[in-house]
Amino acid sequence: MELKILEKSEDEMKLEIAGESHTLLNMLKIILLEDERVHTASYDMKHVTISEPILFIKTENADPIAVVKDAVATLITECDEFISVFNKAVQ
Amino acid sequence: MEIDILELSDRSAKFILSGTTAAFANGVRRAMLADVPTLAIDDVNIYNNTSVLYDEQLALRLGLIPLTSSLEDFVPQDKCTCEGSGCPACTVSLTLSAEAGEEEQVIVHSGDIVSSDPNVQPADKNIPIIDLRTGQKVVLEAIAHMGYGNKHAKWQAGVACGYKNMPVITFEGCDRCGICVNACPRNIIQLGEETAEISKDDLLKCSLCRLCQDSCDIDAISVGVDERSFIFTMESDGSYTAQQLILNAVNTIKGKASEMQNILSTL
Repeated sequence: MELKILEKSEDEMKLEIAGESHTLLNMLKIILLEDERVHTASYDMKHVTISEPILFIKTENADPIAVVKDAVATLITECDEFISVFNKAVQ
Repeated sequence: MEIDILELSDRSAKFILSGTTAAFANGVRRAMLADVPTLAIDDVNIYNNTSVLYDEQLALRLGLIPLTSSLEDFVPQDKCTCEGSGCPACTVSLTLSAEAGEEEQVIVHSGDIVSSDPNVQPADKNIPIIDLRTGQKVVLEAIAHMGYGNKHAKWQAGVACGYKNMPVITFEGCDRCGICVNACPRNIIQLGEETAEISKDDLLKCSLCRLCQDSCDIDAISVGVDERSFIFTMESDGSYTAQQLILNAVNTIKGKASEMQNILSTL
């Protein structure tokens, strides 16, 4: 995975996430949209195999990088929760 | 988040995943199909092939045979320290040697493949590979390596993975006319004491076709879905057990997120 900030201002960011696909990006987008500090969050993949996804985020009075960081942390917590709940359900 | 396991066998699982978003359910589904690495034959050295099948066709058939894999013992070739040239940490050698000899017909099966690693075996022994006739012979060495389902279907660990929303069907002001009982193609609606009803187990069979809703003359039935609850079904091709595959998929997502977290903290 390689991250490249294409554009960044105080409340907007365009972030290219090379090597990833809808799997990660869609999950991140939905988590970002649930965040109160986020005005808009979306991503675009121009071509399914040759393009890299670009995450676009517009925040309200918050640093876009910090918001994305929080979203990623939320995703990790969700995965941990799934693993522990699944292991309990299997027993 | 809650998980209620309905069926769990070696190769397949069915469970209710609730208290999460469709994005998470879809992420798990996509990860099982495309992002969990498995072993599959990728390079084939053919020493002798006098069968009627072209070498390329034979190699394709070998590639599509699911091999039992382990994420602990092998690393994907693109992440291996050998940088893709092939080493014991990312590749396994398998051999196949079969001859019809004097016999009229010999069908070579996946079980005839001999693996150099006892933990890496064809997941099914009865997959036919080639039909040899008198005097025909096949001798080859196949190299399997870890790869991803998004590169080629032979590395796809999950098959038939999917989910549907949990149906929510309510009966209000029902006059027990019984039209909906006959309208339902899955035969899950029954007439109860006061209204028509669906038992909790039967509700899982609902396909959300809404034929009951349309058939009701007094609009007593409303069919909806629980947006945060999913009936998840999945099957494994045999590379991993169903249970392992689900956990591997979630761990893969977690790995991606952790990697992104690390990179973000350096920005």
